[in-house]
Amino acid sequence: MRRTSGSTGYSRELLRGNTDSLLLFLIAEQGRIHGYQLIKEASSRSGGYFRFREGTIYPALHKLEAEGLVEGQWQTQAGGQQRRYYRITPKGREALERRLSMWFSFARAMQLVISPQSS
Amino acid sequence: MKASGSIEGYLRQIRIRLHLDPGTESRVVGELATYFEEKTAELESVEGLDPRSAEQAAIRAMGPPRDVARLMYEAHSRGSWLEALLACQPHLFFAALCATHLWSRPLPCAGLYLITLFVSYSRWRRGRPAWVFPWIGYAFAPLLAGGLFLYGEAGGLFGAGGGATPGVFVLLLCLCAAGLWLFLAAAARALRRDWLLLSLWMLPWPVLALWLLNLDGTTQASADAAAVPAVLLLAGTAALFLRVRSRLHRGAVLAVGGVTAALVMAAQLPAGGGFGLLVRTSAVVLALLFLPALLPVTRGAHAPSGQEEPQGGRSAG
Repeated sequence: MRRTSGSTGYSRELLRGNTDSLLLFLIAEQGRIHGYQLIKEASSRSGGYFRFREGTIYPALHKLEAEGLVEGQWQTQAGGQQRRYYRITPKGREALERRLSMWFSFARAMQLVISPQSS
Repeated sequence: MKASGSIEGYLRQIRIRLHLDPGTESRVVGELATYFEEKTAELESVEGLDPRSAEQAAIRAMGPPRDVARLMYEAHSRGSWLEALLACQPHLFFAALCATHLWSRPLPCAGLYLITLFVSYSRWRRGRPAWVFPWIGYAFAPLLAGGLFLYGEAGGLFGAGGGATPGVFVLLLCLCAAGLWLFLAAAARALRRDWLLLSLWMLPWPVLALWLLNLDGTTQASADAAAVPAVLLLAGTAALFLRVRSRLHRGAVLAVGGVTAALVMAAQLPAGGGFGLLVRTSAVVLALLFLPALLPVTRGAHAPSGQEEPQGGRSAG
């Protein structure tokens, strides 16, 4: 059964399948970023279209780290709190390139099918 | 900045459900605590919420602790291929001993047992990775053997006049008591982390018990031959356990692998194969593997492992 988020208009399954790619891209682009900042960045960059649930982002980040695609490091802030910053690894860059290539091919093919005149 | 009561309660719920090693658990909880600090601060400053409402909003945004803990578990639970291979090793050692009948020779048997003890003890002290639990199962095999022998001596299981002198019997009883104390202490710690790991630990015991019970002269060769495919199945089960992510799938792997291995063993033994015996064997195996899930456990905070831990400025539950 497809679950559609009424307030966002896209299927959660669609976002779930692309969350890793989005996270890897943002981490690669930012160089170094922590979890909460990542959530805000994804939301603001998409004009509020993507609304990640925090309870899925942190596990996704941990999964990427467990797979060696990103690496995390604790850093102590001025106020004494600890933040975990993530950066992409070489293996993560390769994975990101593959996934983006796959995504663009998929999007192009969809476009060809849906609007062959404008392809 | 100290986490408030409701956030501490939330983080405690996460910790109870994580079932991960202490270092990873601390990292997960620490990062979530950081999120709550930032989120509540933002809600208070930007949206003007009072602290309590900000906390509730932050907790709602994170989602039910059960779901977050499940996803975190699945993110961390899958072992590498190397870890899966390590989990297989003690089963493969035992299969080799049975296939070559070298278990009756002191040197190879003692050598492999010492390796098993060393690996079990050293990794137990260093974070208790999931792959070490099959090793621990074999490390306690002498306890199983001693217990079966004492039971046999006491109950005439091995025929009239088992042969042990009273002195040997008492010595064995003391050793088994000490072993049982060690087993219960270690099992309690394993249970506090994850009952599935205790089940993984006890996975080979039904097959081991069937093998031990058939080691008299006439059935020894049959027992060895029956054990090899059964234990190889256990090796595959342990490897698959390490490679699957979800707890439900892990439980299913243990149930199917454990029961199948015991049935393979039982069916090949001279006295085995009867439908009633196979049903009883299955029931015993399932009871053994899933009894840990029913045992009461108090999950306390793990002692820090020294790896990847945030320090200072926050109470993470």
